Amino acid sequence: MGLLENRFDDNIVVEKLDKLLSWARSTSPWFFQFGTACCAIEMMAAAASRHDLMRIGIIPRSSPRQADVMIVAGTVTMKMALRVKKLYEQMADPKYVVAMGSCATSGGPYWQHGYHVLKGVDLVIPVDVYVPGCPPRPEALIEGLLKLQEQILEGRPLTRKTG
Amino acid sequence: MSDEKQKLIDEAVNNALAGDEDAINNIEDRVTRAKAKAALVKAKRSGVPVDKDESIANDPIAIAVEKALAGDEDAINNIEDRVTRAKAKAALVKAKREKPNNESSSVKDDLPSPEETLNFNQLLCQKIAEKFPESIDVVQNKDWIQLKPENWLEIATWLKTDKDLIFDSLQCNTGMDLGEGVLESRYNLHSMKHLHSTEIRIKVNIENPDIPSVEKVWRVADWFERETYDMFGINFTGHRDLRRILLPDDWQGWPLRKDYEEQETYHGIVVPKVKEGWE
Repeated sequence: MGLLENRFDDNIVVEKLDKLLSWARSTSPWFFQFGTACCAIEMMAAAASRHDLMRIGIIPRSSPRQADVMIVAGTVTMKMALRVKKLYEQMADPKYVVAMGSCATSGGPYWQHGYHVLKGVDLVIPVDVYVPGCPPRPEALIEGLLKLQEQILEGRPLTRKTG
Repeated sequence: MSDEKQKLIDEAVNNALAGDEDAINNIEDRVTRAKAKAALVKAKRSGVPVDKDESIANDPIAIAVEKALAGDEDAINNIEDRVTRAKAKAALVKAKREKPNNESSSVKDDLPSPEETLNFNQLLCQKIAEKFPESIDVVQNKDWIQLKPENWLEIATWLKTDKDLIFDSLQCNTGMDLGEGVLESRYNLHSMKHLHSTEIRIKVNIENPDIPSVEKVWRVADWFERETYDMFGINFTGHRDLRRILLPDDWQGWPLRKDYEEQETYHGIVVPKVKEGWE
């Protein structure tokens, strides 16, 4: 809580635990790099020094067990779909999914005739944010991740949702 | 002798040849004049101008024709003398008629004549027919060799080891669904030693698509044949590891066959067939 030091008497902040947890989660969503096609190049560019995802607290991880967010970057074939599902199940809660690019959102150019392509990764795992583009630029991916951070911040992990 | 003097002599000789008798006599220097006269005699004896290119370059008709060929349309029209203009036009027509013929003939000489490759395939076909009678399929073509599947492994081994052929490189093997229940496997062979190449095609019935595997002859055929098997379901008998290479092992059907239909579900994943919102 370094930011809030000496601002209040006796270093006390009154806030919901829900809010604290959401804040903590939203500012460090480490992502599982799941590059399956050309979108992965843009994802790498977003993580590299020019666009620098680390400045908003996002770090690439190579293991699903250390990751909070799965960025599905690229075409997912039927053969891969089973692996995507398995890897998603290996991630620890709380977990989020970003579908990056046309292929991951809807099948993209393989929508009509790609007999072997999964028509959107949301047929296998729940998706939180869709990023359009073929492939989306790193700026678009960053925008998607900021949207995800907003979503996480609004979430209430402890209290039961009503209505 | 200095270059200037030589140039003076050449010019005078050219003028004299063109009809100007006084060109040489007007040279002031005595020695140069004598030399020019000697050059004139020599030029007249050999019957060719001293500098052929220069005489052409001085000809207004030749200049105009060259410019017109290069794209300058007005070069001929700008000639003032009517007779010269007409002559230039005639020369241009002649030049245009000759030029494309010359070019096409020179290009033809560079390319190998089609008979060469054609002959090789036919010769090879005859050779195979001598060595393996009844292995040649009835339908024949000049560009490839159509074989029956039965003796393919023996023929392949022979093609690779025969010292006149040595097809040591299988460059590609691919499949084809010709429709009407016929599948085809195609082999592109190349010899690194003799630098010749050919194409072998083998047809099989879709009901019983068995072709002997050449994976033991050319090791690269291992994955080629697995891919052909994966997409067309051609069964390469004798292959040591004939599994699907791209699609999952439990996939149903052969995707590149003409009668293939998309599956509705795969491991519980629904494949949407109705494309709503598209087209």
